[in-house]
Amino acid sequence: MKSKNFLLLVLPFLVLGLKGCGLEVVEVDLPDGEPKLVVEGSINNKSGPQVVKISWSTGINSNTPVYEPNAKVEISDAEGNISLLNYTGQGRYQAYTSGIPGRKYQLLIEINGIQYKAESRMPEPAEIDSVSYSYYDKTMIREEGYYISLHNLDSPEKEGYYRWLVWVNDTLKGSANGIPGYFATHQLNINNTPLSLQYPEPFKKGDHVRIETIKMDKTVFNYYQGVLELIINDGGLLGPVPVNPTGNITGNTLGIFQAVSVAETNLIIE
Amino acid sequence: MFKKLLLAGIGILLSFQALSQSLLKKEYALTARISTLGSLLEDIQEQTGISFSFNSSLIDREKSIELPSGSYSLDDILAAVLHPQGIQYILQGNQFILVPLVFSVEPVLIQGSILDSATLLPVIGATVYLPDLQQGVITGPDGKFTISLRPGPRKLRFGLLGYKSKTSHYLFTSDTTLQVYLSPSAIEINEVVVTGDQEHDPVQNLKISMEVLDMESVASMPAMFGETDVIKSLQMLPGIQSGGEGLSGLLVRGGSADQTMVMLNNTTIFSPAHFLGFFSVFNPEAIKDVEVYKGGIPARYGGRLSSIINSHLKTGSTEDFKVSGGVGLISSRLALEGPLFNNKASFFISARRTYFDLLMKLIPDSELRATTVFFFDINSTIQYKPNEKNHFLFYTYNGDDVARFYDLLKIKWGNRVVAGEWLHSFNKNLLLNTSLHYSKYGYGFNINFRDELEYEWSSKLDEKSLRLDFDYSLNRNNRLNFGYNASLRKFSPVYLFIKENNTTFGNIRLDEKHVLEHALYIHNEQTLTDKFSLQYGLRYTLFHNLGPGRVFRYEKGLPRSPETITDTLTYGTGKIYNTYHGPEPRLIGRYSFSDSSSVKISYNRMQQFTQVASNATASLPSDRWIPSDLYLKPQSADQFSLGYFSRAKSEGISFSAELYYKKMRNQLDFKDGVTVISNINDQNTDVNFNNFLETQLLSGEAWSYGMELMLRKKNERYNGWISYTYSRTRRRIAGINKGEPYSPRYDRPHDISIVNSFKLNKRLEIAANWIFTSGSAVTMPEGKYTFEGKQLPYFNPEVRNNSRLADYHRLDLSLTLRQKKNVQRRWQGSWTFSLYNAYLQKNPLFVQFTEVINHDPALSETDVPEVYSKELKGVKAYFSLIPAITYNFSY
Repeated sequence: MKSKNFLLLVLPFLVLGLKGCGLEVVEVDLPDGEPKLVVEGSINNKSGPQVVKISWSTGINSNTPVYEPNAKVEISDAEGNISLLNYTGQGRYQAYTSGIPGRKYQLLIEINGIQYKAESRMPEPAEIDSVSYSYYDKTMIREEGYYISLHNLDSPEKEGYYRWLVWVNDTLKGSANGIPGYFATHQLNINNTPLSLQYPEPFKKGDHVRIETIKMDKTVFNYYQGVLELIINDGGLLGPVPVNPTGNITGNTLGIFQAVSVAETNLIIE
Repeated sequence: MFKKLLLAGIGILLSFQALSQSLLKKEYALTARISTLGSLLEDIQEQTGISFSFNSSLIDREKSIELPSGSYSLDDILAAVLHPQGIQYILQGNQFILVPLVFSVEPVLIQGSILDSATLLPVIGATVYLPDLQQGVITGPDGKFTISLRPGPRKLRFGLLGYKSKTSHYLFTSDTTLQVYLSPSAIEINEVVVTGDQEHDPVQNLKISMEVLDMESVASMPAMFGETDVIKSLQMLPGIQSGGEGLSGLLVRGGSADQTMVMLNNTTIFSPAHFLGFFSVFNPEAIKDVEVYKGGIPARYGGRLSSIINSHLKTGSTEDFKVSGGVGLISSRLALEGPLFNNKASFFISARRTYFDLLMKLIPDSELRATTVFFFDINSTIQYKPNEKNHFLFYTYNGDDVARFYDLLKIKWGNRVVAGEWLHSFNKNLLLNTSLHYSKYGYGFNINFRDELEYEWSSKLDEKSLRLDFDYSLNRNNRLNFGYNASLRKFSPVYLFIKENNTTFGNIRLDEKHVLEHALYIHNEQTLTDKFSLQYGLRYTLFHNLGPGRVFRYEKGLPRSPETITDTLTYGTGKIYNTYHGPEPRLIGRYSFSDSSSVKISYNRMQQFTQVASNATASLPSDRWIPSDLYLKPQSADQFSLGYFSRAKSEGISFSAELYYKKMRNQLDFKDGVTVISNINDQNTDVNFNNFLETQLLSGEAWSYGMELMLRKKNERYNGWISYTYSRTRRRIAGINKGEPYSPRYDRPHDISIVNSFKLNKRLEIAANWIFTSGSAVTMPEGKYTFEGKQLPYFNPEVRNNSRLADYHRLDLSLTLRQKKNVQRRWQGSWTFSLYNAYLQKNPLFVQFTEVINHDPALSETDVPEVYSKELKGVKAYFSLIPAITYNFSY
């Protein structure tokens, strides 16, 4: 009887206490700053369209995206090869070409006579020694299913910055805080063992899996880290004051130009 | 036989004295028909039966009396009538002897000590006040005081918050040694003697920007989760702020949390928080009182820029065994104390543990059941006083926070303290307190997924200190404090171990750092005239970086980065490879206009050689402490304060107003984009996992100024205050906010606190606190953009903290119901019911700009079958109303 009374005493607290912290949308009336040019540019070693998206930042309460339709966009390399990109709508400029690992690429954008430039070196693609999958039962920390591992990436002496994009039956799978794929580096690898990675999400029998191991340089990798930090930033209480990710495009711009190499692995879970 | 006689004699003497005291207190009704001194004496004799004996040449019997008729104690009326005539009355048996007040003009020296009547331990910081002369002194760390006076009858008032104050009459004719006992004020209302003024006299003491909070005041405030907390209570004082709601960082007069030194009996506590700051490490059961310096810091303290907070531990009773404790919804406390070795020693031990985790085990949800979150702490004190000359104190603190998920994940942090003190008095003028202190803070976590992954991260910091503190009463007007403090610190930032699939993947230890900080200090408290006193001192601090260690040299003219290292210098154990030193002058002056008002000024310089490398406002368990070194210059600050203190004649009302200005140099900040949340992928931009922190540091200056007003009232039924603070804090650091001054997050200009507790009757007490502060300064986005389909806020990189969160205000209520008093019963219990944030104000703890899915900030994209709306919005986190109930007891 006594313990029942105690529980009755405790229960309102548990209900209220656990709900003791709440979340609520606040409408903020903030002055809009000057629109900033936003560039998402990339070139990789695959054949297909190389895309540069150009838009402008908007007011915090605006729901209409502002694309830049009147830019002159070109990507060139140090060998003198130049690709001019064509506008295809919704801020998207593209050219069918492919990059060569090891080369440095330049992006040049011109809008109303103002030039914006960026440079990025395309790393050599990741050398994947082997790929495997094995079945795990459900445990405290994971769902049951098949888990894929990539083994022995690159030689440990090299700096390497990676992003994994995985498609299952042609559907892109997995994201880190809403940015597709997972990121890793073996900068920490003190013992000089090659990097291995187990993809954190399970696969099912019969899945057709396509893995793109994207290798990028440090600037690009840090840009993504900055994006991921910004997404979880609380405004400076438990973490630092929020800052924009540091990109590589000249002028007062947002975004990044990335020359990346892609190594593709396909397998079917059987 | 002789012994028995002696005891009987003492018994008689004691009862005789008690009788005299009661005769003096005897009521006497003065009527209008008494108009001359002669008729007064006769009437007293008639009414009370006490006769007078005097020489007729001494007394002018026809002298008229100008006193309103009414009821007086004999003591009061005789003093009022006879003293102005130069006549002293001495009670002998049942007779007053009237003698002339003729004394030599040569002053007499009164050396006294004040002892706790229960524990017989010295009472520190008690006021000894002479109302007739409007003079006062404060007892020192040994409970002793010295006053010089003209001989004659004197009234002395003794008091300290938490003790019953008392007024005693003395006739001083020559140098006298006095021993005064003060009894702790009991909880029962009718036992509290109210003398009409504050025991801890802020008007007359030589202290400015300083507060002593006793545990009774702390306990009467409504508490979050019903857990009485010292640090939370301090945040109600003007000039002291929290880093954020619920957090226990103490930001004092524009300083950051790490510029406040938090100590337990002079031992540094590096991380005074439990549960991310919702509770402090100070178990209310174990603490006697807390001393807070916001400025006017005496020379015996140093090492931090803004504030010194020293909690004094309770010592056990040397007479009785006692048990006390409390049972709350979150935690329970238990304390035991009692005498040891023929009452020459005593022990005190208290423990506290939260049991939220145990309650969670009752919930069927397996994930919650598998989660264990708790903290515990244990305080123990042993004191031993073999004789009058020596007093030993030994104490420990041990506390940990633990969070576990099955046995797979474990996070733990905590402090350890072991310390000993030896108080020795060479003679009645010279006293030495020798103490050794050890304090350690560590945190770590490990992940153990059996064979698949083992991950361990740990970090610690320890300090070994020696203090020699002398207290020397040079003469009547000068009291010297001097000594030597030394601290040896060892910083062990991170040990990281990663093992994956049975292959050790990483086994890394960041560079350890060793430093020695030591200081000599001297200060003097000098009474210049009745009205004017000075306290002046100097602390000289030496700081050394010691080997083993290594220092990186960077290429000149280039930004420091691991790529620009040109040389690495390695130093052997004990080798001094870098030194800083500097003086820290301290000064306080007081001028008393009268018994009830004074003005004080102070100046102090402080230096700080150890700080937290953090760009977050809140104090976190993972905060990394770093020493000054070749690249990181020591911080220093100059503070000026001016204060006016006054007290109403009655009603226990006092008022204070202070102005301050503080200038801080070599303030630390970080380059943009440096993270605290460990980004081990990029060591360079991470604070915690970085051997090259100097490559990420920025430094600049800061200043703060403000006005603090406080109106206080304390009487037998009411205890509380209203305070208003206007303050500003600004920083200027090259590379932030275009190099222009900006506000740190905690720059909140307006701050109002209203603290009230009423005793309605002997059993019922209600308390209500209300606070208001301006919203925190924050950086708000100027727009938004989309990157890879994700909406992100855009922040103008050239501005820092240009906006504010909404103003903050909150009401807390509590009601305490005590058990009916029963003399037969030793068990005393009370129930406390409290409401935190009683009118449910949704104050923003923080505002985060994030994508809100389907208009519900609690949802994420994977939670919903269909995303029909995705907008970037400000989302605030807030605390709602938190009710709590606690049962406290003592036996």
